Amino acid sequence: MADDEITVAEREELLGRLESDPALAAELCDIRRIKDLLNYAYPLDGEPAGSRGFGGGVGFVRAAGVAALVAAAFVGGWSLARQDPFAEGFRLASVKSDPSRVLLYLGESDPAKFRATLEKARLLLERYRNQGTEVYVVTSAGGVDLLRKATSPVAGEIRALKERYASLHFVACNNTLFNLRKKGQPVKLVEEAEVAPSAVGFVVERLRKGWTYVAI
Amino acid sequence: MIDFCISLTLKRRFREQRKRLFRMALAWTGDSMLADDLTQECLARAWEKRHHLQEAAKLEAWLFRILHNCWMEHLRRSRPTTGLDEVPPAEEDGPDQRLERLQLAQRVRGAVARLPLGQREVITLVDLEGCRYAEVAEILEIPLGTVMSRLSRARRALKAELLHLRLPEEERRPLLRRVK
Repeated sequence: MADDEITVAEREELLGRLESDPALAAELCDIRRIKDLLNYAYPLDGEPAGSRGFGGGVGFVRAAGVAALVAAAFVGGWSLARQDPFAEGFRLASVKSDPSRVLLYLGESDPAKFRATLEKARLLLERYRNQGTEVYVVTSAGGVDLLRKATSPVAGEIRALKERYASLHFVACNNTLFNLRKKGQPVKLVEEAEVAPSAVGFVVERLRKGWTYVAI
Repeated sequence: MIDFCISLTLKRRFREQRKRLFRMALAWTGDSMLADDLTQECLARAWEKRHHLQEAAKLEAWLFRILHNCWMEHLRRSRPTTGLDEVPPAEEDGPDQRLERLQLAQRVRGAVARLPLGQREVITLVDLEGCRYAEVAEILEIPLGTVMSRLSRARRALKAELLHLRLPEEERRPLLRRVK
């Protein structure tokens, strides 16, 4: 089914089974995730640096650099910016930056970081209020605990901030939620949260549009 | 005149396939310079043999088959007595490599590189190129059943590696937690 190698009748039968067979659904989902990861790791526009007779080599190096930086931040909690994200946040040099748009990334389940994230978002929205600032708090791995009803110690603060700033958004990574669900952990989110298929994809897509990225 | 037009069309179609051939060669070899060489060699050989192309609609599969043959010849030249599934995976556990493994794309490529060569070819043709199983069997000149078994083993191996990839924090956390 994942490779489109079955007949229409077989597909219908399998679709019926997927409803009642979570293990089968998880298997299918895993295969699709692997396909996504492979396509992410081997982009069609990827070209070797210094390749003979191929155009766009610089583009590949740049894209790989972005992926590497973002991935490093996601995996290791690494941060380029600790103070003013507009001054020090990470953004693509090749893209015209839009300084009023900021991504705050959170990958750890740490209440102190939860509060630091909200405070940073509040400061940004307050300080640059007149510039139409837009802030996305993007969470994955342990960071989604910020937005899970069962784990968030700051649900009230999130609600208050969201009521005050319409241009503040909270995003949880669906890949992380999927894995939590597989482990039987509750994944109900606060009402202010949105879900993106992949936090990495979400961040990379916006970096390409000129957003500034800050890891907390 | 007609031959000239056909040649021009074919040349354009070859050019259009270049990136896809390179990507596939990179996934198979893990080495961008070698992948570049194989792509060049594949296209040159395909151009020489363009009159052997029976059906224009099957150009892509035909090119991938030539690419596979170029890769096999390269392996035979460098490892004359080594079987396909015996080609050792890339070693990558030095300090620099450990740093690289932290990077998402690198980690995926590392996992692909650790697959036996036969499995690597099958899963990349299916998942990157969207080839049908029958096409893969034709390209690699292996039975359909072998395509499916290699694909299944490759997916099992990648699943084991890649599902750990994004969850270093979660894996260390207890499954049960106190929730008020």
